[in-house]
Amino acid sequence: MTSSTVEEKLPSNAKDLLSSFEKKTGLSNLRTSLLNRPDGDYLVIYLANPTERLFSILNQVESEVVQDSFFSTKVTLKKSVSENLLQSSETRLFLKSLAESLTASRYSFQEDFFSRYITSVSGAEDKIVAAAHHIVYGRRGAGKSSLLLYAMHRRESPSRISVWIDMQVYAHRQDLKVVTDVIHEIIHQIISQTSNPPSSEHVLRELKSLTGAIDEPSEQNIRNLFPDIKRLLSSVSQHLDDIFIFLDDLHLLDICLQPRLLDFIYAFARGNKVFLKLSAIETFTKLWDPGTRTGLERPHDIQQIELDYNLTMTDRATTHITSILNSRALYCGLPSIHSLCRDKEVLSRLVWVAAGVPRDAINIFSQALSKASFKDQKKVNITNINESASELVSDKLQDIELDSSGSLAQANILLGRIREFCVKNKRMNAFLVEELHGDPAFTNIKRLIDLRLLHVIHEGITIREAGKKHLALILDYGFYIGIRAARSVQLFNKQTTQASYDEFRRLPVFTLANGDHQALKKSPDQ
Amino acid sequence: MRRVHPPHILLAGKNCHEVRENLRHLLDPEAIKAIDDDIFRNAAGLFNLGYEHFLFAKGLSKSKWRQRISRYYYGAYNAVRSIRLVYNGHYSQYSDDHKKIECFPADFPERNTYLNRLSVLRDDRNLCDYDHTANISDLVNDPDEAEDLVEQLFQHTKAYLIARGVNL
Repeated sequence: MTSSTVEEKLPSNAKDLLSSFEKKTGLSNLRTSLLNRPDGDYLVIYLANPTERLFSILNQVESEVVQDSFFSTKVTLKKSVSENLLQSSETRLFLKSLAESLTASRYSFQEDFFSRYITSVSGAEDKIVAAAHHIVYGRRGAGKSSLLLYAMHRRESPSRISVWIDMQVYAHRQDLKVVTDVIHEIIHQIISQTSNPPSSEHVLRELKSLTGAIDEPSEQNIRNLFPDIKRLLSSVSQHLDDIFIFLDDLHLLDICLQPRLLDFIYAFARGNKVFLKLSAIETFTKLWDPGTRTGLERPHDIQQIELDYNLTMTDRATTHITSILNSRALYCGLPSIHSLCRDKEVLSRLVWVAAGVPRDAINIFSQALSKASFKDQKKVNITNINESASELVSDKLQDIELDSSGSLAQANILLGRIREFCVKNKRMNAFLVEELHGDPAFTNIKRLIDLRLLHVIHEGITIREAGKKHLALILDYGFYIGIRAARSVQLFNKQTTQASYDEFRRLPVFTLANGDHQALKKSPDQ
Repeated sequence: MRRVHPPHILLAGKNCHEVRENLRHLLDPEAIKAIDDDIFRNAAGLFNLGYEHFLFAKGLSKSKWRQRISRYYYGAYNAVRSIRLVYNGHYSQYSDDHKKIECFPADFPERNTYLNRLSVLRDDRNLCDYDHTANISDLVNDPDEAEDLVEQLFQHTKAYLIARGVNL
C-alpha cells in the first residue's frame, strides 16, 4: 500500500470535518493533507501550534459530523509553522481577535471570557469581587471595563444579580432624567433576573413617566419614589446573596451630575445588599460634592482601585501586555507572540509607545502586524511599531478636539507648549514638571496624562530644593516617532531598561505658566 | 505494615475500587490501607512496564520504524492503564482494552490532545504490527513524533500518579 497526499480535492467526509472545524475555530483556508490507508482516510490539519483548546474542538467536531459512507475519515492536527506566518490563517484570526478585544462590553467573549482574561498587575481581581462599593480608575484602555466584566462573570449564580449599565448613552448629560432612566434600568434588570419577582409596575411606571415628561423632574419628585424603591429592592435582596450594579465609564456623564446620580442610587442601595462597581477616568470624575455634601466620599463610602501605573513599573507593564498578546496568540493557534516579532525589542518598544496601556498596545500591535503583512515582511519590526504609534496619536487628539464643553481647551494649549518645549527647544522626549497638587494648571497636566498624551515615568523626584517634588513625564511617542522632521528628538531610555534616579533628575524642567489653568474656570472643582 | 495475600488484588473482583468500597465497612482502616497500597503498587508496576517499552523503543535503530511505533504505543498503553487503575479501578488484560487508550480522567492535563493523538498512535501501531503492505510514509505520526508524544505522556502520568499517592 502506498499513501497519497491530496491537498486540493478532499472527499466529502473530509470536507465536512474541515469545514466544521474551521467554523468552530474561526480559522479558514487551513493547510491539510489526506492520507489514504487501508484502515480509512486520515485528514491531517496543519497548525502552527495545535493547542489543547483546538484538539478539544476537533474531538467535538469528530463526534458531531455525521459521516456519509461506510469508510469513515479520521482527523488529527499536526504542528507545522507556515513559511510566512504573518500571512497564515492563525495570524488572520489573531488580528480578528485583537480587533474584538479593543472594546469590552458586557457581552465580550461570553463563555470564553476566562480563557482570554489576563489578571491585572496589581491583583485588583480579589478586591473587585468583594461585597463593597468600588470605583476603578485608569486611563482609557487600561482594562477598567474588563475588570468589571471579570467581577460580573465570577458572579454567575442564581443567588447573585448583576446589573450592567454602559454610561456612554448618557454622555455629557446633566439633566435629572438621566437619574430616573438609570434607576428604571436598574430595577428593570433586577426584576428580569428574579424568579417570582414582587410587583414593580407602579415604580417602573412612575419612573418612566418622569423620564418621558416634557419638564425635567425635580429632585423631590425622584426622592418621593425612594420608599417604594427601597421596599421593592429589600423584598428581592432578602432572597439573594447580593446585587452588584456596574456603571461603566461614569466619567462620560457631565461632571456636575456624577455625585448627584451616585447619591440617589446610594440612597436605596444602602442596607439592601446592593453594591456599586464603577469605572472612570479619575480627572474627569467627581464622586463627592463637598459643597452640597452629596455623592460618595472616599474611603468611607467607596473604595478606590487603581488599575494604571503608567510607565512607573515598566517591567510589570511589559509582563502584563506580553501576557495579554500571548494569550490571544495561543488562542488562535500561534506558537507565541514572540513568533510574530523580529526580536524582543519589538515588545519592549511596544510597551513604551503604548505607555503601558493594554488597549493602546493591542491597537498599535494590530496595526503594526497589518503593515508588516502588507509589506510581505516575515516578522513585525520596530519601524512597524513606531509608524503605528504615530498614527494612533491623531485618535487621541480627537478626544481634545471633539470636546464640546471647552474644559480641555487650555489643556490643548498646554500640550502645544510642551510639544514645542520637547520637540523644538530641548529635543528630548522626557521632562520634569513640579508636582503642584490642587493647582489648576497641574490638573491640566493630569488631564493630559489621562488622555494618554503625556505619560508618567517616575514620581516624587527631588532636584535641588527639598520638599519640591517633580513628576517625570514623556510626551507621547506619536508626536515625534515615525515623522522625518522630528527624528532629531533624543529618546529617553531608548533601550527601555530601568533608568537610574540620576537620569531622571537630569531631565529638563518644564515650568507651568499662569495661563495654563485659565480655561478650567469652566469645569467644576475636583 | 500489613500486605494483602494472594490471589492478586486485581483479580478479586471486576473492579478493585468496587471491591475496596464493599469491604470498607467490614475491614479495619489498616486493612483498607493495605488494599490501597496494593492498588498503588500495581499502578506503579504498570507505569514501569510502560516505561520499559518506551526505553526499549528509544534504543532501537531509526530503521526499525515498525518496532519503534509498536513499542511506543505499548509504552503509552500501559501508562494509561496505570492512570485508569488509580482513577477508577479499571484493569483488564483483554484485547478490547486497547480501545480504551483514549479514556482519561477529566482533570488530566492535555486530555483532549491525548484523546486524539493516542487514538492515532493506536491506528499507526495496528498498521505497523499487522499490515505487511504498509511503509513509513503511511504513518500519521513518524516514530520521532511518537517518541515526543509518549515522553510527554510519561511526564504527565508520573506527576498525576505521584499527586495521588503512588510511589514512583
